[in-house]
Amino acid sequence: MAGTGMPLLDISGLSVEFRGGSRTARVLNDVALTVAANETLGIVGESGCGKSMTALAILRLVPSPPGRITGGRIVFEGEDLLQASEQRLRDVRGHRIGMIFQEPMTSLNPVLTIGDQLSETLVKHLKLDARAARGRSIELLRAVGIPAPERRVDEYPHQLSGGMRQRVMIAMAIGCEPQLLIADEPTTALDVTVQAQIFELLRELRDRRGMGLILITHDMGVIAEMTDRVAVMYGGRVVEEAATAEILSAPAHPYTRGLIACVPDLDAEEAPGADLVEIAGMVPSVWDLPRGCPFADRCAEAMPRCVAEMPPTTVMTAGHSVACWLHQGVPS
Amino acid sequence: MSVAGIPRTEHPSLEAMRMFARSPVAVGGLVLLIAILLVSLVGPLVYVADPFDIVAAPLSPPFSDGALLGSDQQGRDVLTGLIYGGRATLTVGAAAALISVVIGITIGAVAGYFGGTVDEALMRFTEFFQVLPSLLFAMVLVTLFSPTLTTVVLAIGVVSWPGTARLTRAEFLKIKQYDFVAAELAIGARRGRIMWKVILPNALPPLVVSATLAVGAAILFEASLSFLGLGDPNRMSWGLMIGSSRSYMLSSWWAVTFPGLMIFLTVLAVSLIGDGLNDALNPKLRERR
Amino acid sequence: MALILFMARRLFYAAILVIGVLILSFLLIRLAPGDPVDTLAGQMGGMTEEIRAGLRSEYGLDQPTLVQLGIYLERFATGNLGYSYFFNLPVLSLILQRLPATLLLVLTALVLAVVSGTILGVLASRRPNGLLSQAITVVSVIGYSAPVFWTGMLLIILFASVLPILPVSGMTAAAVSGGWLLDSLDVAHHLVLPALSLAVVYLAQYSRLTRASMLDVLGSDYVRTARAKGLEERKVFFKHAFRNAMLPIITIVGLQFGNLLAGAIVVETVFNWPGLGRLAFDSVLRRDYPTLLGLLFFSSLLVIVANQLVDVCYRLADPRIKAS
Repeated sequence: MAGTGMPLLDISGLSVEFRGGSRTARVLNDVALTVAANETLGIVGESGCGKSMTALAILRLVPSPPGRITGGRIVFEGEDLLQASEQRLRDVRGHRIGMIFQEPMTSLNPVLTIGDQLSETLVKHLKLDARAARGRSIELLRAVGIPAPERRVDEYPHQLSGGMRQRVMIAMAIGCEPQLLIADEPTTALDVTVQAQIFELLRELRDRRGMGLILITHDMGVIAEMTDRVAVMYGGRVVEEAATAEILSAPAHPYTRGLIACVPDLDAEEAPGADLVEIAGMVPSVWDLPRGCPFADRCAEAMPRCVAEMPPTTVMTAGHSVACWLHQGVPS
Repeated sequence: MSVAGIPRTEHPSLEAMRMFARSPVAVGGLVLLIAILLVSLVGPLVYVADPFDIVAAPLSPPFSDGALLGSDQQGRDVLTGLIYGGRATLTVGAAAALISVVIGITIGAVAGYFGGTVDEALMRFTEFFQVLPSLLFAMVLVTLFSPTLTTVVLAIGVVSWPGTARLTRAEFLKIKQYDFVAAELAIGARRGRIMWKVILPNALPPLVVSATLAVGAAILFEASLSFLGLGDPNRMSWGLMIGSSRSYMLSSWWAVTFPGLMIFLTVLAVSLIGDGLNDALNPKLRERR
Repeated sequence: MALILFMARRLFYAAILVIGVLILSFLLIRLAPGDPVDTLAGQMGGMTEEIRAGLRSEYGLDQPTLVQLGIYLERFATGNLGYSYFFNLPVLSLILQRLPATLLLVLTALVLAVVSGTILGVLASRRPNGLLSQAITVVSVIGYSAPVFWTGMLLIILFASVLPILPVSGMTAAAVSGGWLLDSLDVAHHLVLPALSLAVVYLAQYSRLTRASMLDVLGSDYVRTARAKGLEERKVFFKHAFRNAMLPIITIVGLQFGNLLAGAIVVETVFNWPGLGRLAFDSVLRRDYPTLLGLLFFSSLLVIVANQLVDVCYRLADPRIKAS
């Protein structure tokens, strides 16, 4: 697959709507993203910007009702998942694409053992028998750094700590050696030291297996640490996309600049208590998105045009695109 | 959005009333209940008769002379019974529900507020009453202490409070944690004030629903007791009508069907109102129903 | 091991509850108007002074209250639930005679309600706004509002005169004794209507509850995880959602067992079913207090046993519950 130049995952024009009564919310709007093998794409933004929805849409897990994917293409290994049959999709889920959710406390079934939940994926996709699946489950638990996996495999989720549960989720997601792993804020519910361990584990797994990795986070620090490329999302759109180094050194969109300013200091060890800048204002409700740029009312550099009209996405330099009127060359 | 940006600051109970009014089922229940109340409370004033009077040949079918809905085995008019029997049934239902709710809220509030040993003891006590088969216990009470309206009301009230107690306790445990309770504690408010003036009003929405349903349950309870021959024999009630005509149901279906229908409609009305209140007061739960 | 400890603790609480019920019935006898001897004898007319004196000394009625209580508790502890002067039988044997009929009725209704209730609820949860969902909501409200005896009577009127294919009274046909199989079939035939009247309320309630519980669980994170794993929808439904959705049903079944027994009293009276409920009705009519109090005690015992069983089921179904 490598060297053909075709990305592992190529999303274009992805739109998702929610319906509530007579109202319609555009949760995702014309989202375009690509991920290559052995590459980590970061998706960053505040909550409610559409990051998780993008992740769910890739596996067509958008809760329905009220949600509906209204358009676009999600091409994975050359196949448009939005056109695939449910049957075909089930072969992709958990097998070719693994997914880790943000809430390890509630994402595991409380009445089934760890081993049971790990094995069922292996039985389904790799056609292992129960015995082999159990053996492989123990190996997987060991691989994600769970001590005494022979014992843990027969335990229930409530007997494990949050960090351990997230490791189990990871073990589950990588069990069938997927080409693509989607991690939706895998560490928000965990404390800082565990966070570092989980990221280390993810990085190691990606390097060893050559997976593509989509890492969703609201933390620019994590982006700097972990990713090769970044897509910044706001109001259900990708507002800027570039290589991580480029975004950090030359952010183009005012929102991206705001996010970066929120991080105390990415390189230097600053004294704790350094001013944490926040972007003033709130993320607009998806039920009430403005006509123009969704960020306009929080943007210090907003122009009348920003309120009136949504800026198109333009390529600034190779691999760096942005949707902002500030970067539209000569305004018409 | 004509008033863009200005959040609606309507009083929550007004909002709840609006939601209630928007549900046709709930409003239907309310209309039905009002109709039943009118018939039972105003009916006897307009239509003066003695429900125990013999007006027609025993077991006359409906549309007979002097007995529009038929007569029972003693020749008493079923329609008169329906109009006069509502009072006893509704009174017992309301009074018993009131007793059960008062006991339930008191015990639940004390258990939830004080916690610890008090809670443990009161919950064991509640569990005890949940283990007693309530109908049988009420039967024993009414049999031992003469079947008057008061005994029946007390018996029903005394056996049916545990559900309310548990609900109140759960609400108190939850609300106790909130900041505004801590604030009251910080300014040194008295216990009684915190329990009844601060926590209770916030626990009301689910309790109102539960109280409504308690009325329905008490009416059914009264009907069962009357049916088993444990109602007050000197007060006409729908349950009594069914109980006394039980043995004749095959020869006179009307004598049991109509009073049963009245009980059914009353409880139905109350349940529909309860459901409507539940939807209006606990909007978050709506989808789960 | 933990299970044994758990059971032991539950049994201890159960014992306390049982003693509580006894103390309560003792208090009732004392508080009832009139001479306790009359209460104990069941207000039988024309009772000889001999029997009265016998009762007085048997219950220690001339002793201090606490001693009386002690005697009372001791009697029950040895299985002596008193004597019914109306039936001329010890209350315990009276109850044991009637117990099988009631258990048959109650358990049939319970199984019917739980099994069909959950099946309907699960089916309805697949289409939260579908026809079945709406039907379940309507039927459960109607079922809740209709008095059990009334639905029972309507069924009797229907099946006695309009559609005479099911027996409407009793447990056996008088003339039948055609061997084990025919007798069982005969009882089953008689069981249909009573079990149905008793079950219908709970059936509707359980289906509504199952539907709500399933919808709740189907929206949970772990069901999303199961789908993200590529499992078939059937597996997601039954292996991942159903077991969790059943937990509240188990709780409710336990809590409502007492109500079910109460329903049995009424249903047995309507259908002349010769069980404990019918016995309760008869003893109310005859003011047969020893039997009535014995029944109160015995049914509390049944409820306690049922609760214990439900607790064990819950513990088996939910690994999170520790002995607490």
